[in-house]
Formats: sequence, C-alpha cells, structure tokens
Amino acid sequence: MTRMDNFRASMNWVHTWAGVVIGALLFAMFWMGSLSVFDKEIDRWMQPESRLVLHDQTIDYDKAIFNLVSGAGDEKLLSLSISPPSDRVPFITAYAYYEGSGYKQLRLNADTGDRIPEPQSLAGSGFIFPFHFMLHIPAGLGYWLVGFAALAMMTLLVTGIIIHRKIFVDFFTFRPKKKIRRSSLDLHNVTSVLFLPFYFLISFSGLVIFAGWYASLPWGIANDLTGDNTEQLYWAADEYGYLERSAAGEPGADLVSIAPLIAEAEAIWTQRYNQPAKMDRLQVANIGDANSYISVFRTFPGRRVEMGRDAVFFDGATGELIKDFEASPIVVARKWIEGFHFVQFRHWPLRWLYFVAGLTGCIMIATGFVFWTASRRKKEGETQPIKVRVVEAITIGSVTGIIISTGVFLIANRLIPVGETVLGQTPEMLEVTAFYLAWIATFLHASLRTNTAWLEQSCVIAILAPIAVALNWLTTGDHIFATLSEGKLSIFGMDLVLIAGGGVALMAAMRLTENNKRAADTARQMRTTVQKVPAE
Amino acid sequence: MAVRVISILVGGYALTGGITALGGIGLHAAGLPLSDSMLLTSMLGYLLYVGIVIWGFGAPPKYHPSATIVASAVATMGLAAILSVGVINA
Repeated sequence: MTRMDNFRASMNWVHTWAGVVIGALLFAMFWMGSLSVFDKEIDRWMQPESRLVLHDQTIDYDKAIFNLVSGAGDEKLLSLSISPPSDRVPFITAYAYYEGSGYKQLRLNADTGDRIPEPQSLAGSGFIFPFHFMLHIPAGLGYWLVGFAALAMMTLLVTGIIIHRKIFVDFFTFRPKKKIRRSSLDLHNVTSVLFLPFYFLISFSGLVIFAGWYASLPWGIANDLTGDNTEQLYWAADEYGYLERSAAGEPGADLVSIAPLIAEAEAIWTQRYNQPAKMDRLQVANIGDANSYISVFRTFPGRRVEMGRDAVFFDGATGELIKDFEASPIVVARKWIEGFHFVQFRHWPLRWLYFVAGLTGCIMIATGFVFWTASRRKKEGETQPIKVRVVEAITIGSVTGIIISTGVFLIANRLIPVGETVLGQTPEMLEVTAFYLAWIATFLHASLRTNTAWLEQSCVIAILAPIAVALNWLTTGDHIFATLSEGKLSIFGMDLVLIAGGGVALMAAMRLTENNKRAADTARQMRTTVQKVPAE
Repeated sequence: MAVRVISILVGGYALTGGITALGGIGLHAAGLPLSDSMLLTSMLGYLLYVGIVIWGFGAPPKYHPSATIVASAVATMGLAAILSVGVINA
C-alpha cells in the first residue's frame, strides 16, 4: 500500500465511524433545521389565532408604545422592543420587560393595535427552531453536542471527498434497480455532491453564530484572566453597537414622537448603502427615566444577506442622535456568515432552495446509514450481529421516527383543546410530550421489528400527513382552497407540503413492499435449492 | 483506541483554542481591536479544528499524532495565557 492508500484507508475509517456515531444526531439537526426554514409558517399553522392577513398601512408606534406602557397596570414596564409586521409575520411583535416578572412576548394586531390571544403552542419558532441548535437538552449540553456534530459534519464532508476517487463519475451514477447496498451508496454520493458547499457552509455558519459559546476557551484566555468582566460590554459594544446607558433613577420627560426618528435612521442607512432601507426593530429602554433612549435597528435587511449591523440610538426625551453604529469589516463578515444561516432575507425561491438542500442533506445522512447496515449484512451474512441491529434500529428511529413524531406534534396541536391542561401540563407542553412519546415509540418499534420497520414507519407517515391536513380543515375551517383564495399562503404552503410529504412516504412504502417481496422470493428459491441438494 | 480518539478530539479542541488565542493576541498586538482579532481567529479556528482532526487520524504513526496534538495544546494554551496578561494588561 502506498502512503496515499494508507491515508485514504484511515479517512475511510473516520468517515464510517463518525457517520455511524453522529449520524442520528446530524439527521435530527438537518430535519429540524430544514423545517426551521419555514418556522414562521409552522407558527401560523399551529397558532391559528395568529392567521391574519396583512394590509398595507403605516403603524402608529407612539400609540402602540403608549398603550403598552399604560396597559402594564401595576407592573412597571422597563423596556420594550417592537418589530413591525412582515410578509412572514402578519402582526406586530413586542417584547416587554417588566420590573417584576421579566420578559414577555406580546403580539398586536397591525390594523387595530389589539392584543392577539396568547399562543397555545411553541410551534416552529419555540420548539422546532431551538431543537436544531440545542436539542432542548438543558445545562448547555445540547449546544455542545450540536457544535460537536457540526464539526463532525465538516470532517465527514472532507473525508468523504478524500475517500472518493471518482466524484464526477459517481455524481452521474444512480442505479435504483440494483440491490439496496448499491443504490443507497449511489444516492449517498449524488446527494452529497449536489449540495456539498451548502452542507459545509451551513455547518460552518452555525458554528460561527455560536462563536461566543464554542470559542469560550480562547476568548476566556485572551479576555478575562484578571476576572474583570468589563470586557463583556466591550464585545457587545463592538459587535452589536449596544449603547451603554443605564437608568439615572430620576423620572424623565415623556418620550418624543417615534416616526421622525425612524425616518432619520432610515435616511442615514439609505444614504450609506445607496438603496432604500427600512428599520425592522425598535427599542425603547429605561422607560420613564431621565436616561430613556430609543434604538432603531435594521437586523434583517431585506435583500441583503448580512444581518444585525445597523443601529441608531436617540435620546428618549429630546430625540437627539446619540450614536450611529457602524460595524467593523470583520464584524460585517461575521454578520454575513450568520445571515447566510439565518435565512431572513426576502427571497422566496432561495428560501425553498434552503429547504430542498436541507432535506437532501437528510437523504444523504440516511442513505449513508443504510449503506453501512447493508454492507455489514453482506459481510456478516443474514445472522445480523447485535451491533448491526442496534445501529439499524437507531437509524430507523432517527430517520422515519423523527418524521413521525413531527407529524404527531402537528396532530396533537390540532386535537388538544385551547386552555386544556392534563396532569398539570398546558397544551404547549402536551404537544411536546406527544412528540417525545411518539419518538420513543418509533425507536421501540424499530428495535422489535427491524426487518419491516422501514416499511411500517413509512406507512405511518403516509397516514399522518393527510390526517394533519384534514384536522387543520376541521378545526379551523381553513382548507387549501380557502387559504389560497384568502391569501393565507403560509397555511396553504404547509398543507401542500404535508400532502406532498405524505405522497413521498407512500411511494417509499410501495417501493419497500416490492423490495421485501423480491427478497422473500429470493430467500424461498434459495431454501428450495438447498432442500433439493440432499435429495439428489 | 479510545485514548487516541479522545486525545485527538479533545486535545484538538484545546489546540485549536490555544492557536486561536495566540493568533488573536498577536493580531491585537498588531493593532486590531481585541473583539475583531478574536472573532477572526475563532471563525478560522473551526476550519483549523477539522484540519487537526484529519491530520490526527491520517498522519503516519511515526509522528505520534495524538501525543503531538496534546503536547502542542498544552504549549499553545500556556503561551497564550502568559502573553494575554502581558499584551492585554499592558
């Protein structure tokens, strides 16, 4: 063996074992991450009270702020952050910080200014989106697991390229009619190469977002040896332009009118970037205090990729400009990488492409697993040592299993009545419980019926998806023709994707039935041959 | 085998941290604000980690990859810790 052969062999080893050990986690991240591309649309579907249709109109922020401050009652409102509606979120979102009870999210109807009833579901942005970066595992462990998996993903991609000599040929090779081992490897290769830069960049940018977490070791060394944490503020000020202005403790004058401040900030940005710029977040801090101030942000700038770099700060009582933040080139580079991951730019075809690329990544991970188990079976015969069976059960539970439990999550959302508590669990907790119970059940099922579990779980997905669509219609009256004609496109899209997903699961189930039949035929033929031999 | 895997993965993280800190301190000494220099080296650090892991598993045994990684991790982190007191608190 040459040195290159040795190197390739060890890379093959790394690729195989990193894949087998981390693959299940990666699939969960890719699945939940792909769904997070449409987290707001999932929110609308699972929070029917928020299915509003947005009318084009200007918002009176002074009135909105006055209502929220005076509506706080006995509690003192300290700061307030307001985001105007957008094409994906058809209402005003406000985060209010109260002296006693802390942060609270409020949703306001953009037409009337009225409060929208409290959501009954964590839905996309409260459950699915955080799942993909912290797995809902407490004490920070989830973040470390996800970070490790992202690094493993980059390593898997690089080692995958190294062990492949014929990337170009493999890319055009797909033999679906061949044995499962062959066709799964073909599909693994095609899906890997197809979006290779995307997989690499999405893992890398995810890590960059949490640089403050994963790079805490070197930052700690370089930063905080003296135990002095004023550096923390230094970071925030340099990166996000945070204004350091604490409350004076004395009552201040009333707030100035907000609209001219927004216009001033937007004029600054329009001139700087030479294109029309709109603010997307407004913050009022130290409310009622002599040191009150108003911040105008442009976090997700429309057609631009980078995010979170523009902020202008005004004095709350006089409206005087205090600070106009401009990020350094390195911070802008980071914001661009983060923006690539957050997908908050307004570009629907690209958003769909992210979704497709993410799901293709899911196929890449799943076929890698299938290839491993099929190879092991070929090598070790049909006796199936326990480790192969364990990996196969984990694969099935983490691939079709998480898809089933996502379906159960949606169905539970439509079945649990508003305000209902069971065993002290609110509806939003009950949905999450349903998700995890269903997921555990799929793992149990997969370990008990390894041979048929792929087929049976695909059938379950094919049944669950249309049920979710039907339940949405029955419980809210929003069927696909109504949502299309009323302009509730997020609901229309959700239902359509569910129907399509059910269809794909049905096709997979039919294909698996065919395969199982063929395998059974072959086995029978072999048995007959074996029985005939001694007779002769 | 387990010792080798862990020393490459964990030692690789520590080595990445050490080099990231050293690079950040160096760029800061060259005139970049600390937040910028550390941000830049931490972003590059992720790529470095992948490189270290691949080298750790792929390098010929005569280089003793896992021991080399652990030793360099200790060295770079120690050096960074000493320098950071000098540079940042200077």
